[in-house]
Amino acid sequence: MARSCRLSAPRPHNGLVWGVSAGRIRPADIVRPVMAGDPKPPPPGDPGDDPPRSDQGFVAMSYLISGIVVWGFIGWLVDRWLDFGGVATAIGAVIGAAGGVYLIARRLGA
Amino acid sequence: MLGQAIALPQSEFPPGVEDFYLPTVVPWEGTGYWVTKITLLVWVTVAILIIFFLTAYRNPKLVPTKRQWFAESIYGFVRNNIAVDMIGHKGVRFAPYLTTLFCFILLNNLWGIVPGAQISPSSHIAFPAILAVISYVLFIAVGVQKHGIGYFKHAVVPPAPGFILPLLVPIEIFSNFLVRPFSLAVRLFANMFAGHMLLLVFTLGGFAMLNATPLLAPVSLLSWAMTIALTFLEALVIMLQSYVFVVLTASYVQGALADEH
Amino acid sequence: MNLAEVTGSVAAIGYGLAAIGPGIGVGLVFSAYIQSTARQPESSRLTIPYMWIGFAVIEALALLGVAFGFVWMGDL
Repeated sequence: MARSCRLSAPRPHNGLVWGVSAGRIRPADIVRPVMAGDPKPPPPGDPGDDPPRSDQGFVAMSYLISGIVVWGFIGWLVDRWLDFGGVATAIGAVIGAAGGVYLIARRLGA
Repeated sequence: MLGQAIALPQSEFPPGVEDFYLPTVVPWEGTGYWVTKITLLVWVTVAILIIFFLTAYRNPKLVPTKRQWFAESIYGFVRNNIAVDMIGHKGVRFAPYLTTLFCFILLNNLWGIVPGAQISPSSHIAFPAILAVISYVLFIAVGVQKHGIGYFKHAVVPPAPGFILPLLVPIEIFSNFLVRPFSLAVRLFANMFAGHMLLLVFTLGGFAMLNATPLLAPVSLLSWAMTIALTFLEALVIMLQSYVFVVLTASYVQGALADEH
Repeated sequence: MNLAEVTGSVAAIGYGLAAIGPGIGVGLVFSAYIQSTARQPESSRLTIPYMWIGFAVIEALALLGVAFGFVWMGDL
C-alpha cells in the first residue's frame, strides 16, 4: 500500500483504517462528524464548557459509605483494643458519616 | 452447548455457584477448565468486534453504508454522550478507549440472554476485575501525566481547613483509590451473576416442580413465562451496566484531569 | 405461653424500620429537585448543591442504621 505518511491534515475519506499504522491521525479524526450538525467544541475557558455531571449520585454514595466504613473500622479497632463494647464503633460510624457529608458538601456543593 | 441445553432438566434444583463453572468444550483436554464456553464466548466477542469495525471502516464513504452508519453511531454515541459530556472536549482523545470498553462489555453481557449461549462471561469476576484494573491504571496514569506526582495530593487532600483534614484524608484515600476499582468490578460482576442466577432459578424451578408432581405443570409454565419476561429485564440491565461502567470510567478520568481547586 | 418467637438477629427488622424514614426523605429531596427544575430549568445550577447536601444528610441516617445494626447485633 503506497500511502503517504505526510498526512498532516485529516483526510478522512480514503480508507485510513488500513492496519494500525496511521498513528499520525488521531483516531477521533478518522470518523466523520457523526451528525450533520456536529457542534464545534466551545473555546476553552467558556463557562458553558463545564458539563453537567451524571455521576454525582455515585460520588455521593461512595463518600458516605467510605466515611462510615473507614471510621467505623478505626472505631472497631479501638473497641478491640480497649474493650468498649461497641461504643467506639458507633462513634466512629457517626464521625465518618459526618465527614462524608462534609466532603459531599465541599466537592458537590461548591 | 446443545448438550447442556438437553442436560438441563437433570440439573440440581437450587442453582449454585458451581453452575457457573462449565465443563471444558475441548474433548481431548481431560477435566481442565481451560477452554470452556466462557472462553469461547470471549473469543467470539473479540472476533466480532475486530471484524465488524475493520470491515465497517475498510472503505469509508461520505454517504455511509448501513454498516458504516452503525459503527459511526456507536462511536458517536460514546464520543458525544459519554466522553465529551463527562470529560469536556478534551475527552475526545479517550473516546476510542471508551468505545472499545463499551462494545466489549456490552457484547460480553449480551451473551447472557442470547439463546444458546445464555451465560455471560462477565458473570465471572475475572473479566470485570481486569477491565476495572485497566480503567484504574488509566485514570491514575492520566492524573500523573497531567499533574505529576502532585496528582496524589490533589486527589487525596480536599479543599478544607487544616484541622479537619485528618478526618477527611482517610475517607478520600479509601473512596478514591480502593472503592473505585472494587465497585467498578463488583457492580458489573454482581449484576451479571445475579441475572444469570435469576434465570436459572426460574428455568430449573419449572423443571423441579414438573418432576415433583405433574399437578404443578401450570405453575411450571408460569415459571417459564417469568423466565422470558426476566430475559427482557436482563436486556435492560445489560445495557445499563455497560453504560454505567463506561460513564464511571469517564468520570474518573475527568476527576484526574480536573484542575486544582 | 409463647405466641410468637423470633430467633436470629432482630437488628434486621430494626434496620427495615429505620430505613423507612430515609427512604421517604430521599424521595422527597429528589422530587423537590425535579419539580423545581421543571418549573424553572435555569435554577438547576443553583439548587443542585443543596439537593446533594440534603441527600447526603438523609442517606447518612440510613447508612448509620446499617452500621448500628452491626454494632449491636441483637444484644441490646
